[in-house]
Amino acid sequence: MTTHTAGRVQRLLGGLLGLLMLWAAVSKLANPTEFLGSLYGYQLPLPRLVMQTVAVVLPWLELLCGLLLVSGLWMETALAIVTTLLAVFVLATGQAWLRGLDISCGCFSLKVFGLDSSPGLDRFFESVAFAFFRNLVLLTVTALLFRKQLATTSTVAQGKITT
Amino acid sequence: MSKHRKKSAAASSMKQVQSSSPLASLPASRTRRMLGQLVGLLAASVVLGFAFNLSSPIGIPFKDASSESPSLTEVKTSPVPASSTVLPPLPQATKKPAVRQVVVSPPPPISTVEKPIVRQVTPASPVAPPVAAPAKASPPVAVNPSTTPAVPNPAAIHWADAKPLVASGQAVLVDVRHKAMYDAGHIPGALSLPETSTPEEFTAFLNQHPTNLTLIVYCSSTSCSQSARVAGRLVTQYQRPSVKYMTGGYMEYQQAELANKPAQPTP
Repeated sequence: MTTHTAGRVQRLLGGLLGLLMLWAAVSKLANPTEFLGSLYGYQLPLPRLVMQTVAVVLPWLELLCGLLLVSGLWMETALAIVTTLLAVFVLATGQAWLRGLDISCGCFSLKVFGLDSSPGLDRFFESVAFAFFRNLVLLTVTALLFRKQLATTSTVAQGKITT
Repeated sequence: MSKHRKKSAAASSMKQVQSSSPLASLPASRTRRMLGQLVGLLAASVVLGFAFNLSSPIGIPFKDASSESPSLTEVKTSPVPASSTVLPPLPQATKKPAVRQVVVSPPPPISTVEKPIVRQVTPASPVAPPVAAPAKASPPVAVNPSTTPAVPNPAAIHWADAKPLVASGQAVLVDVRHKAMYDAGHIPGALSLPETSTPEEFTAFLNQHPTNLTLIVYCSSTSCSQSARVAGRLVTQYQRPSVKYMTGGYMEYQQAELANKPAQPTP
């Protein structure tokens, strides 16, 4: 694969990841109280104020990162944040799965597209087990992108590659 | 000698790792810029988040409800039927005097919606007549908790239909969201019975409500599934003859009531 093609793939994956983040953000912003309910469902040993703050701030962080990834601006920073977020999501869904919590992950909603899936399908996609594996895959992709992005920018900065 | 060799080998491998790590090879200025952007993004998210939350009618209420968090046992004494002048964030509602007419409630509503429920419940509890013992709810007997019937099917209901039932005392609202969510805001008169409650808590709750009283279960919104799940459990496991679940949940109530009363200040 040439550097040029690799760059394109990288850019495409970044854009797709950005769209995913935008979807996640809008799903949460469309119904903040439900998202907060999902957070409580994880039964994390955190004060209520922290949970509420997370429910208020996280969707906007996802939204901003999504916009940056789609637009290709501040890529390193956006990827760093998304990688960290996904690592936290993996831990949160993983512990919920291990503890056998039957909860909704509160990640994405088809309702924002006006789609109404069946409750069974909804339940599967929102289950913590599925969310855990999905987050794990996303974390791997994002971490690779982040690493690649840093390598590219550092080599460009050192003048090893001329673009 | 060999120690020295080992040391130098380790040092050279460290150097290799450092030079191969993209993070380590980032110039300090770039790292500083990244940190600046990071802080900027976090600050922007906080500002936007709180601004949006304050201005949104469906925002998260931040008031501390811990002082008035009614437990399951406290709540049972204060069901206030929803009137036409209800407001969304309503911890005060639970403080109002108890209206126990709910318990001595009239026979089940005779609306057409009721029919399917009776039909669906029949196979689950063929012997228990719904009106037999108004003071006792069917116990959560270990009938067959593991082998629940294939399709538990209580009826779906919208707030517009649920409201008159609750107001007339024919039904009681059951909030199955997490307790903290209930404390943060709930439909007036609704009782908290989180989905995660123990079977004993379910039994205690149901024992306080006669079987001919319709239970209207709700969670957050259309995309939550707790209400449908709990409604199913109430029918199949606890043989409640009249259970409904509010498809739009608390959000549907908020939207309906906010639309009804545009400029009324909170009392």
